[in-house]
Amino acid sequence: MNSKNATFGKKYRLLILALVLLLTSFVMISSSTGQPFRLPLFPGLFMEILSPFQRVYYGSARAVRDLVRRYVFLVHLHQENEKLRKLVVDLERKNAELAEMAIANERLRRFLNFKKEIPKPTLPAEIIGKDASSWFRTITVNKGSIDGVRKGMVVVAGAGLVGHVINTSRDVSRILLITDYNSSIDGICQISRARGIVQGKSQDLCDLNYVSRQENVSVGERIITSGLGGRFPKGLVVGTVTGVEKKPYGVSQKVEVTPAVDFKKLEEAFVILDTDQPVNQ
Amino acid sequence: MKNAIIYLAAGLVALFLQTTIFSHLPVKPDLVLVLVVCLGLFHTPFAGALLAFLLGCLMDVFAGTTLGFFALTKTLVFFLVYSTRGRLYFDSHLAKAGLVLIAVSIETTMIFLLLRFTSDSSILPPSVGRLIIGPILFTTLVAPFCFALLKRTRILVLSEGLE
Repeated sequence: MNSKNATFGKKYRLLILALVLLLTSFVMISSSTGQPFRLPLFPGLFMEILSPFQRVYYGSARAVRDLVRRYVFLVHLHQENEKLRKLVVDLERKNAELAEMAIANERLRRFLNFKKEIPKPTLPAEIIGKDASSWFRTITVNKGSIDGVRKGMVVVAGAGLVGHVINTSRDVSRILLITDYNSSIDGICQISRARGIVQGKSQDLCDLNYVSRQENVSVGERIITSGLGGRFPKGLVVGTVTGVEKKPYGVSQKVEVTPAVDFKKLEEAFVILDTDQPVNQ
Repeated sequence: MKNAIIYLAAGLVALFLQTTIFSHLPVKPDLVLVLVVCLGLFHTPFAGALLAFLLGCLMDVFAGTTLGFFALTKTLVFFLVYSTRGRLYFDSHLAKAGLVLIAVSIETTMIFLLLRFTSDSSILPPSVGRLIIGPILFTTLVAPFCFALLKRTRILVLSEGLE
């Protein structure tokens, strides 16, 4: 009887282990689907272990690239100098135009009784790693909970919206980019005021979904965050409309959005530490 | 225990490479999957399955948005590889690379299906090359080097070969 039980145990031990492991995975997935997961101590520890190496790698890569830019490309310095002189003249002219526009803008803002909003506190962070798989679009930055970064905080760059924090450890955080499949942001077209959901579709592109067919969205229009949903403050630049497709049927139109931020060249970003206040538009 | 440490360390090195050096390339290989295939081919089912699960969890820390996503796919790949081990010969590098090709294709299909159920967006045809064909081929190409490197490491640490 005992030997029969032992044979049964041996035969099904592996099957039981497989079921336990797969069930554990399913429980983990179901508990973290739809909401960013909080890193428990153990996985967070691995993130901390790898982060110094990632920092060293990105630091050295930048140093090498700067060295190449400074010394190897000296050959083209003369032509570049000439080009830069012309550029300075152009920029000075553009600067004068912009100064004039800023004055006009300020005047119009006052005229329309626009409230001057206070900028939010931001934390600069360097990108030290990217997603380990090809399927997802996340980045790792060198600022963590010790610097005040919390899950859900919004991340921006000079050009516009980058994404939001999905998990943090002591010194590093992971950011879900707006181009990831799991990213959904309520957005508005700046000119037509058409509203939709900006969803990532990888390939460094997004779609503005659920835009009514009646709306006249045009290529080149900027998409900004609407502020609905509470996570993203109103007025952050998401991207530009690069394609509109209206089919003869259906209730919505297809709008393709190219993000304002070039994620391939992104090196630094800013974490908005306080998301309760609206930002400057 | 030494084995587990070697695999976890190799997993960390693989993830370091995937998050840094390979992130500059348009497609990146799944080195962790190669480790899981290695576990399925050469290790005891219990320790191997647990290590595959742990390597999947480790990948979840550095990739994706759902904890348990890669833990599930890697564990399933381990059991699939383990189930073929007694039935086929995997002595040559070509055969091992072929097995990696099958394993990575199966995992890709699993990820694709899981994403279809858990994500609102659908994967579009332009992404197919970057997400599916590229990583499958790249992983298959680097697999023989990974096998050789892991074998050498294990010989150095444990003073024994993989087979």
